[in-house]
Amino acid sequence: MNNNKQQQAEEILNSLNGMQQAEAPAFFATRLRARMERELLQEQKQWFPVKRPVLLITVLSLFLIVNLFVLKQQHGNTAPAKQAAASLQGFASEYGLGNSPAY
Amino acid sequence: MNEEALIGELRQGSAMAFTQLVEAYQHMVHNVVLNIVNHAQEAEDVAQEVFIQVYQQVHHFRGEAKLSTWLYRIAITKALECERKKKAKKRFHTLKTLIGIGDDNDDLAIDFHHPGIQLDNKEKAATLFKAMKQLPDNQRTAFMLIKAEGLSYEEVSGIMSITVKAVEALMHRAKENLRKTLSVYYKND
Repeated sequence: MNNNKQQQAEEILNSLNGMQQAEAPAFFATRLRARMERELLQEQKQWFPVKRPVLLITVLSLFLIVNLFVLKQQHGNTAPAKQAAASLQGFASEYGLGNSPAY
Repeated sequence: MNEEALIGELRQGSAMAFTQLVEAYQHMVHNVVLNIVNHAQEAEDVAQEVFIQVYQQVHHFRGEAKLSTWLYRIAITKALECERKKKAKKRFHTLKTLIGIGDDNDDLAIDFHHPGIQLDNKEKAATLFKAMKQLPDNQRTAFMLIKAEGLSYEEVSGIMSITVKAVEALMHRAKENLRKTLSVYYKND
């Protein structure tokens, strides 16, 4: 009984002996060319070069950080400008230059 | 055109050389992929991916190994990748079925019958292909290349980048594991 099982197992293990190679389906090359044209064309159409999500998140984070930095810089620069405008207004009102009628 | 000239032409992006490559190796690539994925339509898709990768990465081919060895490596890697994806999908499907949102009928396993097997061996070979799926990747690759592709131990050692002794060890372990798996089938009979 046991020998019979062993023999069956050996027969199965040797069942691939003398097998023929399977051939690729007909028009394989034609379908491959069509797929390549489709995929390569699609790659060319992609305007955004970053494909991996990790890279995309990194690029977006960098973009946000740079924007925040620029905004902060601009906000910091507006304080002296306001001071200058205030001193000019003070000067003008002191000498009556700001609201004098034209006539 | 000899191999070196063909590779040179491929590197220059010659469409004619690529067509020649596909004509020469399509059956070999399709057969090795089919022996791993065990599904004709999937095998065609994977074989196409193999040639696309060859087209895109021919610049990286240094010519240290034969072109066929390089093609075997890409084909095996792609086919095993496809198998891993299928297994992951199957696990997800099982989970969906368990929680009651999947369809039981999707999971019906169909026996694979290789077209190159003689009629009287068809059932046995189908059982063997099913048992081969239980093997670790390297044992499965060695067994498939020797038994199904009919390659020598030296050729397999070149493809798998291991020594001939290591191939022998892999074959020994593959056979042992297959015997164990097949004995389980008999217990169920």
